[in-house]
Amino acid sequence: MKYYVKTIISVMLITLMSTIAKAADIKIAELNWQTGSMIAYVDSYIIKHGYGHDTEIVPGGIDATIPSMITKGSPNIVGEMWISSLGDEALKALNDGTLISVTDDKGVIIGAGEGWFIPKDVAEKHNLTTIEDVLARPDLFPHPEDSSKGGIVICPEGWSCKATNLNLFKAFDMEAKGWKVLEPGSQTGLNAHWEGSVTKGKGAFGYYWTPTVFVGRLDLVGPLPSEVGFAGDDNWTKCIASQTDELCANAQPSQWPSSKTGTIVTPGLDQAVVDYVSVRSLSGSFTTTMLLWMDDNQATAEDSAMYFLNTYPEIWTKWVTPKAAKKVKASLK
Amino acid sequence: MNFPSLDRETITSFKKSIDSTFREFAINWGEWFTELLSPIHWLLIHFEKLLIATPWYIFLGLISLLLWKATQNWKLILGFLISFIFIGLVGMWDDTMRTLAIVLVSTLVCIVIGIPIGILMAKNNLAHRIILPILDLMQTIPSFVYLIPVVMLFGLGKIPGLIAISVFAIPPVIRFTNIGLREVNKDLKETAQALGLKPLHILRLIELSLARNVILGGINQTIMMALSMVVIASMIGVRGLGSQVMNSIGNGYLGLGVISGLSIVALAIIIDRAIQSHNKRYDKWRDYK
Repeated sequence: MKYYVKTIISVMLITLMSTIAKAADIKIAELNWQTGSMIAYVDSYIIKHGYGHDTEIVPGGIDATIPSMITKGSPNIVGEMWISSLGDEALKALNDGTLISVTDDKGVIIGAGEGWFIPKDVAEKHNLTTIEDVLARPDLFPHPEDSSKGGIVICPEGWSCKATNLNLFKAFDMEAKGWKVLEPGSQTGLNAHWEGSVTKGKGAFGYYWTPTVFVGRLDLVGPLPSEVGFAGDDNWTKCIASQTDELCANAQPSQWPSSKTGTIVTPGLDQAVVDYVSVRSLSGSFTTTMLLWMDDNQATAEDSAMYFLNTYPEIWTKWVTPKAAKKVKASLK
Repeated sequence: MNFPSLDRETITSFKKSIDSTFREFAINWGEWFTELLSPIHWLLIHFEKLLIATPWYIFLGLISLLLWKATQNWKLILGFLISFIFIGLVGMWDDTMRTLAIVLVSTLVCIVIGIPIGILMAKNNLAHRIILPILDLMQTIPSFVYLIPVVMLFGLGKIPGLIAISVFAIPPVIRFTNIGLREVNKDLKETAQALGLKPLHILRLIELSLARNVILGGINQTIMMALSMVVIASMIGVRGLGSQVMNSIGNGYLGLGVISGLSIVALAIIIDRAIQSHNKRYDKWRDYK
């Protein structure tokens, strides 16, 4: 009997000790979307091989990850956080220093966001670069039910961006410029409309978001900037993006703001690691290229991270110290 | 143990080849098909405009008159007036007119295509054997499967909506035409032949007129199925009561959902009762004669 008790206790002790010994000193949250989880694997590999820390990847969505970071201080790094989706609790934690946002204004994925797109070939052929350029040419984007007018495809019913689109339609005075709204009905309709128009080589103009596989595959450009720029938070947040048609009567034209993405860490990390994660960023178009590669090869996040590290050293070596870069490169061989 | 499926790459390349074949097809034939259907598109747009532009009192008056001619059933007319006044009061008039326009034009397309196919099926057993499983397929295939290619071919809006509705709603009119013609008493046909009537005359004077009520029943079913498809059609940009239902689903507006749903029901019940009551009256009249 005693023998058994001893064995059990010692087995438990060994297990406990081995877990303690194995516990990684930096835990990285793997977010549950393609780029979010790829960035987690890239971080993990670079921190492990470049900076010599033990890392562990912790899967989880935003809803579980952020509260765990606040209360337990783990995981330590969340790579691609969409700032607009943070709740009050997280914002409070960022204010009092329980969490630290380390990315500068340009964000982790530069140019991520929603807005108005056009196919690249149409843009290049007619030299259209801004919203105003497109609005001057409704003839290039005929509305299917009234070909004398231009059609702009907006968000489907029930999406909050539908009101945003309608407000901007009014703000840019598009009706007078010969435009008419084209309602897609659903995301199925929206996707099929883009896919069909681009496949047939016809002009299409309207709403989509990036980075997405779809934007890459169809070669869409956007979100298009506007000559007036972003016309202020008051105009956007309090009117265009939040109110229905009637309540936002004097909306001003504006370009779509880009969605901010950032990296959030817990305090007390190795400064070298913090330096690395705070400069790590990808351009929107490069992210799209990666997404296309993932889609074509049906690759896992880990595959993609390894492909990225092996194929694009010119991008990631800029993020790390030369010493770390050397170490990572050596480990890749 | 897993079923020994093909390896992932083979399946992926198979799916991709379907995709690229269809893309090729859309590039080469998309415009041609759009041109081909442009008369129907024109009809749809202008019929809708006409219905919306017609003042409500003229619309109510004309339809009441039509219902009286067809059914002489004053209860039905009362029901029609009450439900359409309700529809107008809750602000669904324009959307109801849009829905009515696309449902009626789709039904027209179904009749024009469906009745000849039904006749063919009744006359030719080989055609019967081939067409029957196709009809089953049309009624069971999930509409999303063909919604995406149809939108890619024709763009958003009324034409893909019309096609989606027609694919789903045409089987009853074909089936009922076929059954109606097959049920016509053989003795009557032989008598007609003995009297020297040509096949086309027999078809028109005897078979179709005897099968009339069955075929009307089929058309009735077609209209009902077309109405049930307006919500699906609204997912590819067909405006009308369906898009109001989608709006209420998307935003969780219970009240709007109830109102727009009930408007669809009202349309369906009135059309259904009108055709039934017309059939009854026709039967009575024929028996009396």
